Amino acid sequence: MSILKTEGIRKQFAKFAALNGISLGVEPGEIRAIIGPNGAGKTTFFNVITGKLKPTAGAVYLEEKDITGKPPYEITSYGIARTFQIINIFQGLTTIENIILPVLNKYGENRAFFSRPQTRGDIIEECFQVLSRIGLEKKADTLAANLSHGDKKKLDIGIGLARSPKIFLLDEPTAGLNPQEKQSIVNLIKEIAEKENLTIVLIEHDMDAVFSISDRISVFQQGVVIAEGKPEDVRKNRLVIDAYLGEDF
Amino acid sequence: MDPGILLIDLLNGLSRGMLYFLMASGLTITFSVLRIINFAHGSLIMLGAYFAWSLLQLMSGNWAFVLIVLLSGCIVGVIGILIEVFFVRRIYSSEHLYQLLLTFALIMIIDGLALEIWGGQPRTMLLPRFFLGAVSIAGNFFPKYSLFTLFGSAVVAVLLWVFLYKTDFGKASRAAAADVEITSALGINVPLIYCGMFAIGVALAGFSGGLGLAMSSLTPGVGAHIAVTCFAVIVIGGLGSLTGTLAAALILGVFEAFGDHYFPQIAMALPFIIMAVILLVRPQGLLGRKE
Amino acid sequence: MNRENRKVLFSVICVGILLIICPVFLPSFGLYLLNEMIIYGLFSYGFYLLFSHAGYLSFGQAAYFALGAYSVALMYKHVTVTIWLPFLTAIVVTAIVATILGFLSVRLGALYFAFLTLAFAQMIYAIVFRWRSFTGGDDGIPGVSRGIVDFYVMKVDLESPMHFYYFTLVIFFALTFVLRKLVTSSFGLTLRSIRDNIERSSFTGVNPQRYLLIAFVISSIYCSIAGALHTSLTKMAYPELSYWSTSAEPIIMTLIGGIYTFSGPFFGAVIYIFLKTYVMTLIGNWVLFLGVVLLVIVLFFRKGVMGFVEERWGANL
Repeated sequence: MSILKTEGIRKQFAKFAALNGISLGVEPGEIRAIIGPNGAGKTTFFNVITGKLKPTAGAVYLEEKDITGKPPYEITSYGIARTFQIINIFQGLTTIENIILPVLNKYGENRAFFSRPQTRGDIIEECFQVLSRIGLEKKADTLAANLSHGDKKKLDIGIGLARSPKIFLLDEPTAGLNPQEKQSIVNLIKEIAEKENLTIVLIEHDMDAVFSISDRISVFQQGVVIAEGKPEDVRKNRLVIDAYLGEDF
Repeated sequence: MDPGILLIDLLNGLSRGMLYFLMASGLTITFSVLRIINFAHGSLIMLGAYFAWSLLQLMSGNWAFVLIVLLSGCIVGVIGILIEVFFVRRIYSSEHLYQLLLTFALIMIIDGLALEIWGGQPRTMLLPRFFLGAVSIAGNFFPKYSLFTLFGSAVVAVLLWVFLYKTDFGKASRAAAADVEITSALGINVPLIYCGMFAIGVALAGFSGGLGLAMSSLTPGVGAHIAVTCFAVIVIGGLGSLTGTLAAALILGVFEAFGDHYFPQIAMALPFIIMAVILLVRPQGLLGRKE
Repeated sequence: MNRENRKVLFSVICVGILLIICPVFLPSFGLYLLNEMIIYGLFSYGFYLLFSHAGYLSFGQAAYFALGAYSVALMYKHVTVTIWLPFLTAIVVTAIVATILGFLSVRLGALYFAFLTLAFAQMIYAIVFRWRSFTGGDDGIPGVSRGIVDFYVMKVDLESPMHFYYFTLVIFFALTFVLRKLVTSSFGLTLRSIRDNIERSSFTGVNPQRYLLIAFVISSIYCSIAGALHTSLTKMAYPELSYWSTSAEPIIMTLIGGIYTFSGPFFGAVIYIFLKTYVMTLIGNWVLFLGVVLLVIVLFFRKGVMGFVEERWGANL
């Protein structure tokens, strides 16, 4: 049973067809990379899955359950987490507060009118566990806006992780990072995939990263999947080479 | 029901509506180009009316009246330039709350100054003889001044259209309204556009104040009421859409004219009922774009 | 508890004690003024919850101020002078209206929300203005009672300024305490996350509209209780209580006091009313003065008075 399945997803923006019928399935525990040129519809695809956009046609299933067009908060509660191409964290809150929020939500505690999160030892401990996974435990009280770019990206991942999702969508997690930071993120992704047995779908342009961690790759171009398969097969695929990779891979 | 009376009501409504358009158009321009809701707009309209009143004490005569209306608009426009340069300019990059509060502060400063300069007692305007009296339309009487307001506002509306669509400055300001970054990258002097369009929006307020002075008495508190009506108009029409503002203003004017006549109880709440309905059913307004 | 928190707690206790013993040596006008400050402080706290924590600006909280005022005034006039039922009515009516209007409003983005709250407040103003037979129209309702607190074993007549002051103070202390708890709780953090990044909050599993609605209703109830107290203090109810200029007062007060500081709304109300009273007598043109003050704050002192103090002290006020 696929953990995430889409059937014929189309998304039309006035005259522009961003997605032209995407049908794919992701197996539990898999690391799937989505690659392709800019404008191919990769982020739009993520937006449709996570409820930020409603598809013009098609369906999205999470563990056989139809989640098409449901609002983001509901989809998050079903177990899908995501990060964003442009950093999307709570810049005005501290690092640990960024993590407290999804943890509170996991336990249904957002509406605790009179209990201070700091007094909930169990929740704070869990937050610190997440923080140490992403390497930010020493910056717990730093304002998120004051973190470095790489740390912000990690926090973005941390927020998703903290909710203990079943499947994690990462949108260009290494974008804008230096090689050291990139490696750090890639290691983090590998680690959470293994330790949590988490299913991961990631959009990436860094081919080294993609080929080093993916189990399978889906290649998007102009709103359709032009190739799909194991990394070694995809890199030899003529269509993919012409559309995106070029000869060097 | 006498069709003649209906016609008078309709003309009344259109005349009111055109005045509303003139009043609200400046607000729409300021919002669409500068992305700022100028809360002080009502006070600027009031200021135009006060200047018109003062000028009327100095001059008299039919043509002088037209000149006075134009002058009051220009004076307020110049004040608009000063406001933009010294205050509004500083808050372009601030949070919306502070932009709002700045224009709010301006309301109080303008109202306060009006109180100082012109005093608190209501001022009314004596129209020159040419504009007094009524014309006969389909057997009923329609005030000459309302006719003048209707046509005067229409002329200004046409001039505004010509300015925005046929002149370079107008086209540049529409470009800035659509996408300010690209417009700036094209080498267009955006700060000048901002200043100019703010001034024009404010000048329109001034004109409409001068024109509307004859319609009711003038006190320093009247700006608040006018402002709120203008907000209703721009929201109903669609923020940033000048055609929408025109449509909304005319619709509101006509509804109010009929409302005053046949349903006086709800006439007061009418703009806000329509505003609320639009926000609930079609928030982008009649002719606004969905963002 | 660390040093800063101890400093803050100490100051809070001092202010509290001051408020309790003040009436003893204040002239009656001063007591009235202080009473007004507390009531407007409560009004401002209502605004503060919705804006400074949930991030939504409402130009229509005056509507609830008026609803509270008229509920109590009408109940005192027609039903009973004992405070329980009238205040309960004010709260229930407000809760119902705020839930309905709030539900409709929070679906919109922040800008349209602000406009819709404005529209609703103006509609309520028009209704109150026109419905002469029920609300007294633009004459309003004069001679509103101060109420009687009936504890069954004893009755306290609030007609005396001293009694009414302590009545207001108790309500103020209680509601401010509750607000403090709300604001520092998980709920408060959730609200601030919505204010900070509404999209991201929905991606943590939070339904932003539900929380905005809860905050809106709570805020409206605070404004309504303030209105109820206000009408008893001034002994009148009138339509202007729902006009948007009334909505502006808590906004300005909170800004003066410090828009992101917990003590901001109260001290803002104190400063505003103090200035209004004395400027009126000395200079006369209060509107102009206020405009200049607001301008200066917007351009140079955004954090407000308590924000400035907070920075100097390095504490959380």
